[in-house]
Amino acid sequence: MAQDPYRYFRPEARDLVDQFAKGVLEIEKGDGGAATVQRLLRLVHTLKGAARVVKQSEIADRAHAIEDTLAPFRDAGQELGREQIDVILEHIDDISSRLVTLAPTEDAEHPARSKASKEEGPRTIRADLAETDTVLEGVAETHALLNGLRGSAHGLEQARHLAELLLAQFSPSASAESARQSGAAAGRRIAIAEELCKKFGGIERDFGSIIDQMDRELRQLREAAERLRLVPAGNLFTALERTARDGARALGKQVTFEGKGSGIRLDAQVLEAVQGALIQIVRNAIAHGIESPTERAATGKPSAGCVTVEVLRRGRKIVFACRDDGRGIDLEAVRRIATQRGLISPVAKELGVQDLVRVLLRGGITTSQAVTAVSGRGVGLDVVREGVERLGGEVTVRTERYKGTMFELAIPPSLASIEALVIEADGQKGTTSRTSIPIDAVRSTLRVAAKDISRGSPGAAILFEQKAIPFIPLSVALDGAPWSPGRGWNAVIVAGAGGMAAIGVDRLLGTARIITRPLPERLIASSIVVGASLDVEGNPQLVLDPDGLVTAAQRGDADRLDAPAPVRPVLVIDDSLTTRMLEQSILESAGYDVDVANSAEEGLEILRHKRYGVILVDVEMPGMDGFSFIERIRADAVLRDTPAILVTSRASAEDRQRGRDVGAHGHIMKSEFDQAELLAMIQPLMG
Amino acid sequence: MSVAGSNVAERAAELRRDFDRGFAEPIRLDPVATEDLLAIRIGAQPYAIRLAEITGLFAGRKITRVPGGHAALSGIAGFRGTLLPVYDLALLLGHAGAQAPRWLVIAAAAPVALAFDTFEGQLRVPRTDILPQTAREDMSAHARDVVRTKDFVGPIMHLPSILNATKALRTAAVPAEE
Repeated sequence: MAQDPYRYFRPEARDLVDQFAKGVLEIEKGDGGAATVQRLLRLVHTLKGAARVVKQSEIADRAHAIEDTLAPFRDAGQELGREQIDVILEHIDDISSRLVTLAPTEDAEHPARSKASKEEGPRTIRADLAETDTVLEGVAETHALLNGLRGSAHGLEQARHLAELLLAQFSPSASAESARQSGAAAGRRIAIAEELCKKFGGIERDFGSIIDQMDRELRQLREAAERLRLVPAGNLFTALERTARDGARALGKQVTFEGKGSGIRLDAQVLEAVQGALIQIVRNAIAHGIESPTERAATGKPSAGCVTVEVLRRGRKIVFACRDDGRGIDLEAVRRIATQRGLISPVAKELGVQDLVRVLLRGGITTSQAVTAVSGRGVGLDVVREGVERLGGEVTVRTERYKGTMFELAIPPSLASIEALVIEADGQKGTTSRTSIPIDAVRSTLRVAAKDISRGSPGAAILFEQKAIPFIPLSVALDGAPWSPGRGWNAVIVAGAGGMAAIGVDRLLGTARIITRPLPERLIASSIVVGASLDVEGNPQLVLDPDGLVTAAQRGDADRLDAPAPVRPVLVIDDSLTTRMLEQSILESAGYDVDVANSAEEGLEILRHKRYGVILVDVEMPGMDGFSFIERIRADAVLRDTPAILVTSRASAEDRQRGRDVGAHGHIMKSEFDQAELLAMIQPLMG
Repeated sequence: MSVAGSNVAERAAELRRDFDRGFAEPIRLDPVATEDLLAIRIGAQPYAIRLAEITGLFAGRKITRVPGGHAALSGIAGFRGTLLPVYDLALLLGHAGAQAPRWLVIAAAAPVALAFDTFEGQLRVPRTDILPQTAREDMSAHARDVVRTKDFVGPIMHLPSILNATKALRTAAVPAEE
């Protein structure tokens, strides 16, 4: 993209401005001294130089002005005052807005990308997401190809063995026939075979060593590319702190800002999208939550209010929690204003806290007495809610009068980098599942002997730190594999929202930094799965949810699955794909094994090989209909006792009678299809 | 160029005429419209898939099972850094499931991969060899046409209805623990 002269300047300048703004706020809080001023001077000097190179004289002049303001404070002894800081921040704001205008207006090569960046507004990260994704995809695919090459290397090894065999055949000592051959011709063949062996050996060595090197390089490259795609959550904090500071200054309040969880690395797009919502919440906290120093002093609070933004992982979601220690939301005022504006009915006096918060989040309400530069227009919270919902997240609010307010934005991240414990569980039929658990949920790992596992209701348990905690083998949680109570386990002690649990695994493979991705959209999966990561070959590896694991262990799945009732499967016969799938889905969710057939004839064929607890059969099907099907099985010596239920759209009294006559055990109307009714009808028949 | 001229000018004139004629003639349409299909087999049953309805064919991809999913969901697989759900075509079509289907196609209309046992090859068949399905009404939901050629006879999968079925599975199924 040679036509974009600012391609390198933009990210560099943004990074410098971001670091600079952070440093200025440190100085204002009294955390920085002369050393910070010197660092800021270096940053702004670099910015000035870079701006001159790309002929951005306005930016260079602003940077120069900042240098002039800062220079007198280079040496210890004199501190920057608020006025100077305001001047500097004004220059920085001007530079930031100029940087935004430097974004390429028309990107001929990537119109979609250009559109996306316009919609997303100023970007706070350095990497171009689309390009980073291209790199990542390329690396993943190349790595997969490399592993394919390993197979070829193995083929080469086999070829060398064959050449060695050939050589042995030619060798006079190995073959009587060869020995009889005259010297010259045989000698040539032997020489050729020897040369072949040597060549194969050499190629094999080179090949192996190159593959190993490429593998190492690609691993590093992939890790680096993934880091580019993800940015630390802490990148948010500078802008939020700045918002808090400016808001407090404008309203004559005192505020300290604290950011927690800065090390969590998240998808840059999520961070960018959530930044706007958080800025709004912080602004609101300053305007409506935090009281004036006098008011705070009168209620025994420290004169400076506190606003904290914490980023944390909770199950499948990333939570951004913004707390303030201000006066809380005046819910009575919200009720009054909402009633005045007709947003709620005057009789809705019984609306609870959460209902009123929902009204507030719909927007159009402000409890502020005056419109200020900071807030008071009654817009904002609806923007927060809309922004978060667009990301598939949700907003919850907790507020306590005179104590403070907490907004929680829970967002499903598209990507997140986490440290995880990689484990393996042996499943049924010799399969092995390699999965990982977020390390921050792992309390301990230990070896558990068979005698340490107690059995009871609702499930198995072990003692950990003198307390009984539920135990479940991972293979049971993953695929219901039966487990032997007579064996020991490697146990991973996991802490979830519902307490602790011990997860039995076959092997602990160590820790690794992995990138979790959400499962494909709307995929139904057990709640023990939080997402998946891709291994070096590009294959998915499940990431487990500590909360889900604890719940599974507490439910006692281990015991339920340890001794499964000898329940026979259900056969569903229907020519409609949708009906088959719906019935199969309901029955499997209720724990039944299900087979399907799309015609009565196919059903009869299946029944020749397998016994079923119940058969669900459609009446109207091409070929043999459901009535005839039941008649056929009632006439069969082996199948005659298998219960059959008709699922049909034919509901006349005559049809029902005919069903009874042929020996159906039940009659379910498709038009009144009810999951509970189906299960209730099947359960007693399964005996 | 039918006749080789004896001198250069004559030959050049003929070349020019040929060239001009090439533009003057109307574009000749292929008299036989064809369709590209993939021939596959599920158990013993041959099927065809329209090439235009898929974006890729893969062999031997590792499929990671997902607990709690529908029986027809074989699991998830990675394609160029993206996770896709993989459904067992045999189960979706009402056949017995394959042990470990080796082949996968990715649908063009939705981010979904479909797995099957055997890939037979690619076919280019005249449209006239594709007949609307009438004889086997039981398969009308997912196979609306039949291809009949000298080498291959079988229904053509109706991918939109199969994708709808997978969508229904994602929305209708309720996991046991939730």
